[in-house]
Amino acid sequence: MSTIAASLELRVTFEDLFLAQYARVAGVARRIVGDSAAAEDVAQEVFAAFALRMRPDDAGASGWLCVTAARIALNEVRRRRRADRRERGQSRLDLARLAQREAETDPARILDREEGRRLVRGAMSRLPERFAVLLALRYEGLSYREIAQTLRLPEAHVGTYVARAQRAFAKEIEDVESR
Amino acid sequence: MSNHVEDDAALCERLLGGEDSTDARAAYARFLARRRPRRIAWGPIGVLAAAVVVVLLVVTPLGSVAQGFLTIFQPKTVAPIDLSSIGHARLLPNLNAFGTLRGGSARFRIRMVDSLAAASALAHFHALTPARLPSQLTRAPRAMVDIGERESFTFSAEKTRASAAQKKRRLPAMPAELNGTTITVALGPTIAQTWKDADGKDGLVVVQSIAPVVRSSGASLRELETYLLSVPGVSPQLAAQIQAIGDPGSTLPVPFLANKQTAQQVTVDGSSGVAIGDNTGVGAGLVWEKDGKIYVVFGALSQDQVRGVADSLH
Repeated sequence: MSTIAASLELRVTFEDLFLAQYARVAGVARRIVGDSAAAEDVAQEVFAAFALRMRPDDAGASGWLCVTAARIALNEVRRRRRADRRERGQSRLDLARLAQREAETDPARILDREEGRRLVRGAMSRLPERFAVLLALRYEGLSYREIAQTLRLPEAHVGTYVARAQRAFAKEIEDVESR
Repeated sequence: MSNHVEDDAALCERLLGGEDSTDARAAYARFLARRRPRRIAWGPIGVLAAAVVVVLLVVTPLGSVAQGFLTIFQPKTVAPIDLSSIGHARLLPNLNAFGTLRGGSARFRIRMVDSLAAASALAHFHALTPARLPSQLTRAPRAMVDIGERESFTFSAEKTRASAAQKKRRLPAMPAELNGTTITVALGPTIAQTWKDADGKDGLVVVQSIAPVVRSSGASLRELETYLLSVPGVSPQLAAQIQAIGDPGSTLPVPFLANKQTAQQVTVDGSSGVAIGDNTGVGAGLVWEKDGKIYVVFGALSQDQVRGVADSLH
């Protein structure tokens, strides 16, 4: 009886969950892939995977979405890194394409912004996955308590882990800039 | 050291921080649009179709208390039954080990027809059709009729003993009240209409069927139920759900997978029904009983679209 009763009590629909969690899922992805359009593609992929594997009322649904967003985003930046290596020698940036995408006319600002994104993607793709996921959650605005619950860490240790992840990220950026 | 930490945090904030605006509603519309062209996810729909098999061949004999050849099952309502916990366990025992099935041999029961009027004439009831369809579906449906059949099953203690000995497995001894009891199952007629989407794939199916009727010549509900569910290998979770159905003699169980789908009790055309699926557009279905007929609407649609089709049947 309890199973039937539970199935009748499902009130959280997939649509509710999508609308409530989409901004956070896309936000987590953007901390890793660097730009909004790619982050939204990742978010779509995350929800498609969710629809196949999970139920909207699963207790860990929100955490699953965030961690999956971070992991799919990491796969994406690693894929792009490999593609960049293959395309080395070709023009690194297509200014016209970027300008159109961003409704931006100042080439210097586009270059600056794209350089920042490239730095982020590079650093994230080289970080240990646990640090990259942690930073994405932290800078998307999850509290230490939410991070602890999502990643199943002791809450008291989250601050230390965040500091270590920040150090590792900064070191990756310094290494690239000093080359 | 503390400067180092602060510098790291500032760098991270500069590169990783900041807000972005997203439009979740528009993103959801894109999500639906991207998923709709896929094939029907036969998971949810297969389960709905399996409902017919499960109910008619196995679950329906678990009818109400009856002595003599009385109706023990005639659905007046529907209820969801979760099959997700069963895994590889046996759904219910193979009836062939417990007796003899007769009937059900009409090999060409399903006929394609040119029109809904022809379908109604063949099935001897007036078929309903939707007044409104989701825009991605073609206007002309295909219609088919299953003219129905009558099957009977007679329990035999001797055959049960022989099956157990042959397969070297333990089957519970059949109670004397069950031995010799004959169950008859009258199925259909059934009319099915299907619509294809722009890619030529099945997008919507509307099924309407005269509700099945099961009669028993002897054994009571509890005897049938207790015996069949005591067979080794039957999922205890399924057994518990069947035993929990309040009025099994008039409730059609609608199987679904709770780990993949949602099921909600809803009201359709003033009758209670079960809605399965969600609004992802991957697959959704609606099952209800009204005036002695079972209606099933399912497709590669959102639950809202399926609901719209069901509400427009006339």
